[in-house]
Amino acid sequence: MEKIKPAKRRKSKFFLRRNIFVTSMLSPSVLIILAVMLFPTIYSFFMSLFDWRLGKPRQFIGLGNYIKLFTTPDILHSIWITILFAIAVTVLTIVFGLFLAVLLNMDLRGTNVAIALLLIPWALPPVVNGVMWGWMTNARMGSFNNILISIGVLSDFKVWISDPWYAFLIIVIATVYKMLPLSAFLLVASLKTIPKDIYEAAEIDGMSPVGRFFAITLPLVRPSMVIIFILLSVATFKAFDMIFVITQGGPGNFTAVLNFFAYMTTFRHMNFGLGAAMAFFISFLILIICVFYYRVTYREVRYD
Amino acid sequence: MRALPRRKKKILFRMLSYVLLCLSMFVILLPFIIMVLNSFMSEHEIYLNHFPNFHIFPREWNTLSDLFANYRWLTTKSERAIETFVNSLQVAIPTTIITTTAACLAAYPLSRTNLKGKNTILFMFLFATMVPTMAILIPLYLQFTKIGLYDTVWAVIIVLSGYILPFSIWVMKSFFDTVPDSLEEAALIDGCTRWKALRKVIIPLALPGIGAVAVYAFISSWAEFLIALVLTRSKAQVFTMYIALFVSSENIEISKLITAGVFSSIPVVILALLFQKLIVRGLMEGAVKG
Repeated sequence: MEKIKPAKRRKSKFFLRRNIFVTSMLSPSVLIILAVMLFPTIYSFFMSLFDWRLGKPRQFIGLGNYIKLFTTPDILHSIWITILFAIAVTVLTIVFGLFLAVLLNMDLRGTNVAIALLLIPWALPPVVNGVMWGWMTNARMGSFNNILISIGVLSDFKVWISDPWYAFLIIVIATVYKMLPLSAFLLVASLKTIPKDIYEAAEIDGMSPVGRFFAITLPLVRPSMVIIFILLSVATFKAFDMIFVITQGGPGNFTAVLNFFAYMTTFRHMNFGLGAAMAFFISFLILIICVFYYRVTYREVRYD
Repeated sequence: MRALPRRKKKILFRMLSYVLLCLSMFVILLPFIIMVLNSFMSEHEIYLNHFPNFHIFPREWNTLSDLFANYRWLTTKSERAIETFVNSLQVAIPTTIITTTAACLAAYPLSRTNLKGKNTILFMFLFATMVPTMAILIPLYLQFTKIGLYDTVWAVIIVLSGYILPFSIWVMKSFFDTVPDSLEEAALIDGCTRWKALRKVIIPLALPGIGAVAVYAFISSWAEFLIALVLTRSKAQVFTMYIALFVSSENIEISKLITAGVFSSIPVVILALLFQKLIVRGLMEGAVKG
């Protein structure tokens, strides 16, 4: 592949100008991202090494906060529930997303309308999404209870968010709702890369639609599913808005995923050091996942 | 079923799929529709709206303007609502401009050259898209309080831009990658500077990508909550905070809360529907790379 390499061998004026040009275009972005995203993350690590609370001078305790992370039952539960949350949301999002993607890929009439409508959950602010689901599961006036009672499944109003696992289920559903459009679109994109001939050949050979799905679609879509799985689970580590609005981490810190718990620790209990430790812990996990993800997918190679 | 001729089976299958699609759309939109319909109900009606009196469509209204009573309250009687709505705009618009411009600029070298540190930078951007918000907010909170930028709109704008930028650059880069080198080379041979080549060749061709990034940036800034929650208190409060803190305020008038929620969604839903082709292409374009 030929790119314009204006005589790299001689240090021509053009080459020098090109370098300044290139760096000046990248610098604003690199600077902002370093300043706002990367440097604070490192500073978080620095903060996590101290017993840093409001009102007291900070004291160096090394890895003390991290030991607390793994010995305090509340925090351990938070870590565990975060992982569970990530898996639950990702699996459900991919399953339903794939279901939708297959339907959207079939060129049915009105697919364009469907895609447009699907953008609504994606565009909604997560806070509004949370209000919506919190409202639907409201004990007395929410649609869940009322519809279920009307059709006879429930016999009395159920207070969904006071039960730990139902509360968890609700925030999972709310988050899946938000992520479903994105997952569906990504999967449609990857479905479209499968040539139709394979399906036609299988159909001629007498395979049923269901058979075609399991034998052709699933295996070919699996690489994309892995990538989407990783991306989505990392995205769930950032979950905050919906938990704040629907359960506030309750009942009793049960649904407090790590990002939320870090917020509570820092800004309610005013323990900056511990909060920073929690936040950095997630970042560290994500960093490892990132390295793995980058190695597997993004070797920059240009064909042309 | 086995007795049916193959063509009939195919038609039946397609009909079934169509029904499934419609059903799925209905189920997905139902929560939103219920919320919108509830926003037209008065507090009194909502309070009594439970089994056995449960109904979805508003009933207690006589004139059309009754239906919009909640919205009238929100836009005229509630100072807090208007203030925070304007703040949201004041945050979202500059952030969109900054993010789109910076992403455009950054994507060009990343897409077109082979800098020595390119892979490191790309990795840095990848990690930055995934960093959990609290990891950056705790130090930033301390820094901004020190500098005196706490509770200002600009604090949110800066942080939000940095937050949205990495993903925007990824998407923009994918779009730039789809513009073939040859066009640029032709322009350069014809005597264009790199700047002109960017302006006149690449940007017009990547315009859908730029549009997609701009819409995505606006929707993300509009939806932002945690960053604003940590970095502001009352002066620079944004609309999402108004909604979330409504829940914990003293008189929780549910009808007004729901109305605020719907009201907050109006700009972004309109944007999403207007630019749907752009957004979908933008999301899928980023997917093909991965």
